[in-house]
Amino acid sequence: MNSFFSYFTANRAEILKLTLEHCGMVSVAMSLGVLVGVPLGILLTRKKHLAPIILGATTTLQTIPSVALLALLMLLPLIGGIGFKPAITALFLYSLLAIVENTYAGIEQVHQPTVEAGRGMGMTDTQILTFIEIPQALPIIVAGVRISAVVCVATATIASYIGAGGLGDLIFRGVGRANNAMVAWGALPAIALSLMVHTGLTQFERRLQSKTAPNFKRIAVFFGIGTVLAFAVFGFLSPKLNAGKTIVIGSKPFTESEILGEMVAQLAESTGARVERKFYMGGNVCFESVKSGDMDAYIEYTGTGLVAHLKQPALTGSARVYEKVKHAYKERWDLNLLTPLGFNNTYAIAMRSTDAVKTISQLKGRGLRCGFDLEFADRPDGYPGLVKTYGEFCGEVKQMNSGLLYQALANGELDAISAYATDGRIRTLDLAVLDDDREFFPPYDAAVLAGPNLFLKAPGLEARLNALAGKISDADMTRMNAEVDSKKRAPKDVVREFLATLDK
Amino acid sequence: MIRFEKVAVRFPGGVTALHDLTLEIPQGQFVTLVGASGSGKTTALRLINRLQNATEGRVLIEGKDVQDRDPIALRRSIGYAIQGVGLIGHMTVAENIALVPQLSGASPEEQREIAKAGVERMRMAPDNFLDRYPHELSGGQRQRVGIARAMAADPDVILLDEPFGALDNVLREEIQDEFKELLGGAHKTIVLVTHDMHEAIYMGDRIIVMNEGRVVAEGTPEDVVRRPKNDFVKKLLGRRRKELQRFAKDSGG
Repeated sequence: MNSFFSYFTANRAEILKLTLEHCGMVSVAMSLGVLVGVPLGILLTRKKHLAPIILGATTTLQTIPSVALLALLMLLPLIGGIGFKPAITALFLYSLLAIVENTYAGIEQVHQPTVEAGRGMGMTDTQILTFIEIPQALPIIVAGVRISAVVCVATATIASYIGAGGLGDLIFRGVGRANNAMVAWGALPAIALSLMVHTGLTQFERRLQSKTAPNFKRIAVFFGIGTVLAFAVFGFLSPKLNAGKTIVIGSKPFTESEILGEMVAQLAESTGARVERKFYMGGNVCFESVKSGDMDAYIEYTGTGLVAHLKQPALTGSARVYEKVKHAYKERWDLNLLTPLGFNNTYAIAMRSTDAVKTISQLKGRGLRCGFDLEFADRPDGYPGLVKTYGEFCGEVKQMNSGLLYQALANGELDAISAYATDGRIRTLDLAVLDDDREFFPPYDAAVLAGPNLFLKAPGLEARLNALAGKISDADMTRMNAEVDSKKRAPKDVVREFLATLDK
Repeated sequence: MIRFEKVAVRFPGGVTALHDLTLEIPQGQFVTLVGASGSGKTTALRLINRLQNATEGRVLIEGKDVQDRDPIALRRSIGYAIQGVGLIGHMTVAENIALVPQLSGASPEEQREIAKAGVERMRMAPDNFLDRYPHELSGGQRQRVGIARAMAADPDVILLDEPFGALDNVLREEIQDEFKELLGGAHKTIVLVTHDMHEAIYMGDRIIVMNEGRVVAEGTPEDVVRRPKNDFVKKLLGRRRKELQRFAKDSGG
């Protein structure tokens, strides 16, 4: 409980900023949803043959898992890339179903004799719509907007996956670091927002249903002001696209990647460059973004480059793998893989120290309860390859977020997990990394992967990054990871201290 | 004067709603169209303000074919009220009554005046009613507002489609009395559609009896009831024939 309050005190500003970002995304997406969804719903009442097609399409959109939709949108031109644009596009698409459906249903259920009387009195189609149909359907339309908005507040948390920020940042980072206070401070404002949206719009619906005249001018003005505000907040928060020399530094969704991303960011800032941090992005998002130019640099591992990006079989030998990957990155995508930082964060199999198992070959045929992170479970340099080298040793395999694996192992819920060799929790939770006695795991030397424009934007940075080569040992990295994961310190402080020791 | 010239209406499904209807309604006459459901009476009414278009023949108002007129302008020049009245639930009595003037561009002050005059014509106190909503009124009051709305733009022609259909019997007779007096003195051409012979006889200067898309009898209430032209009218009068005959004589006198 203590850490819960102290987390808030220490991170008020960030929580507020992320909450605002969250509100911005939701309100922009919902404004677009209303601007498109309501007219679309009305159109369907006029062109009924289109209704099954459009409603089918919006329903189908709703069934696409949100992470998949984001990943797909990211690859599209114009709305693609990372950050707000694809996130808002996805939220907008999700918002459509309830709005279109309720607008359509709301207008369809309008008392027909009233419409008929209106027509008989000489109302034009437009007047029937604005004097009778929309006012009578309004409570139902607003209910649709309410349903959409509540879902939107919750769904917007996954925008973090593609670097759009919002409260999802705290949730994903918190889960990754097993920091419950952080998760709670991401979830609580989201819950509060949902409840506010729900209550506010429910009140509004009630007032509309009370049959006293809704003042349309006022509603239109409120909606207009809301939309303008939403876009203003959004414009204020969103990075100025291509605004001069801002450098975008990313990280993958785990602590070590974030610490090293922070390190690159601080070094860049020390050259006077303006830096935008896009940390805790989904699996392959960083690589795609560096390729497309949306991101300038992040930390990649040589083994990942070899297997996941070059699609080649795993190799052993740190120098060999580095050379191979470095040349391929340069040739195929004009990306620069700098000299490795020093430590090798290879995938490893970890068990409890008390299990007293030393090597992976001792595991053969044991039928253990295994837990693997999502990538490890199906990568050729992960479990499938491991089985070929060492034979089957898992009785059951559970896939989960890598941050949760360590605690589950320590609690005895799992017997063996996929681990990162330098993860801080191996030390703090009294776990042991098994020896890869048949040299299956390829080397995972960490190095900065930089896009072609990084050093154009920050001329002094190349020298500073090169000076980092070989300076971070396995022990250094494990310690920094533990500082963040176990002692719950901020990566920026841990990085600052480390850089200070290098300068001495 | 409203004239139907050999009008036929066929619906897309192949159903013929009207066969070769020829009819004249002189200016200032109160005509009731009476018949069972499916007799074509409502279709005939809707031809006048172009809610329905004729498949054959034509409908003329003051010698002009309604097909040559803009439907919106035509409808605004004709009063219209239907069963259940069709008042707009989120608008006040005043807004409902002044709807057509509002659509035609009357100023808010003019609208208010029209609404006030309309309510007064219906013998309702403006201060009590103008700012109330339809759901706050009794059935009879709603009916009156509906008629006031139909008359608001001071049209020469008023079309009423079962305007008292939603009322219970006691209230209905009371309102019929009132309207006969209110509308009778207005020198307007009024066409009222009803399935109730009693209402048709009581309200109309002239009755047109319809069945299966054709006129089967027409004339003053007394003519139609006293000397039923055919079996259909006899059947329509049914067991209440004697009563209705007496009634026609009384109200005709």
